[in-house]
Amino acid sequence: MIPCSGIADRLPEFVGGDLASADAAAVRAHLIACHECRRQAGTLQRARGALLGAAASAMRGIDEADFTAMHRSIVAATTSALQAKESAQPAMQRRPGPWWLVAAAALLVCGMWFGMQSRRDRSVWHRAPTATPAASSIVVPWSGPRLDMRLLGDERPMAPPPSEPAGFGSGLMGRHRLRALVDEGVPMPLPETPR
Amino acid sequence: MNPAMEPNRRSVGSSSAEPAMTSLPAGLSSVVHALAADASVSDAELVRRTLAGQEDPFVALVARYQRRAFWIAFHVVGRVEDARDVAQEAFVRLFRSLDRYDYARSFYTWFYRIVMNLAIDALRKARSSHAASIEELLGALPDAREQGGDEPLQRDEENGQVWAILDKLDAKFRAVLVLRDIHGLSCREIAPMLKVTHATARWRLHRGRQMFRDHWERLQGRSER
Ligand SMILES: [Zn+2]
Repeated sequence: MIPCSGIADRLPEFVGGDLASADAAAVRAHLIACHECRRQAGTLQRARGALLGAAASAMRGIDEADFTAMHRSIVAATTSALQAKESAQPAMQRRPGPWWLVAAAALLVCGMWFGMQSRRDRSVWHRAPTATPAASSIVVPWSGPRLDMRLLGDERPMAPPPSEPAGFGSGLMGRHRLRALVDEGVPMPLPETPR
Repeated sequence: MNPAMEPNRRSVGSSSAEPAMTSLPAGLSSVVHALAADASVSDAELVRRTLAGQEDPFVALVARYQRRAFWIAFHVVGRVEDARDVAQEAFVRLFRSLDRYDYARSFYTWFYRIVMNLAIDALRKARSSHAASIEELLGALPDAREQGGDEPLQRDEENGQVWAILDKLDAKFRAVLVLRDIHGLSCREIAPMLKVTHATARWRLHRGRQMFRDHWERLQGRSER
């Protein structure tokens, strides 16, 4: 026989009809033999009966007309919820107007947007820097007249010095350089100088 | 048999004298009445037709479930007015979230979950706003003697004790007790309604019954003295 401690835990399920038939039979066999467990099961049964009785008694007390009125008010509440949902949607969504009007408006907006974009691009401030082929090779900035290196014994005359050397601190340093730039065009990267 | 219609066959409690949970309210239009009473039109089908823009299928759903929504709410909250509000709000929420319904799952489990959420909230709110006395609870209940019954006074007293005990129980235990013992739903059905595991639902039922029994025994002992 199952001990009382093992039965007490199963009594709520037994009384509620939640035990499998084999388990229920074992509990029933114990209850026939054990007075204390039978008393406990009886208390559970009466408590359950009282619960069901109170629930059923309350249910007999509600009038049928209450349910008819309740039905009407529930339907009215859901209808007004639907109306509130519909009115919350923007007017454009509900009545979009003729399709060609919508299409024309969309085209106009797109046209204006592109116009503004291209005009804005014309400004130098908004133009992206242009990539030149030179950007991929090393650019050595031109840094004034350089010393010509030559092999010993090369007798060719040296290039004449700048005709108007700017005095130090005159503010005109490099003026001849500007002139040279004008004459020779954009300076090219220097060839590798033999050392 | 459509499984979604299964709870329709369940009677509440053990007695067969209670009004059927499934009887439809009076005053329905013939179309709605036919839809609500037709067992071959499943709840899911009514949802589908509502989403397709028809109004009558939803009214039929209300007719099918309003009684059960009200009674579940009533047994959890313990007040007619609160239960009425919970049932109404549950249908409004159902209507708003109808497009999120998962057709693979049963309709009533989904709907009762909404009802239970609202009912438990209402119960907690009522408890926090004012501790309901037993007299108040009794006042909220319809008096059986007014219905022409010759129920003895002792029975009324006992009912009052039951409501007082239910009011003492924590909402989570009360919810399982109401759904299983009063409304006859299984723990498998109850678990998703309360968003708990099956084991938790069973444990809560076990503890809820024990606690109810303990309170009951104490009250009986007191009234016998
Ligand atoms: Zn025993």
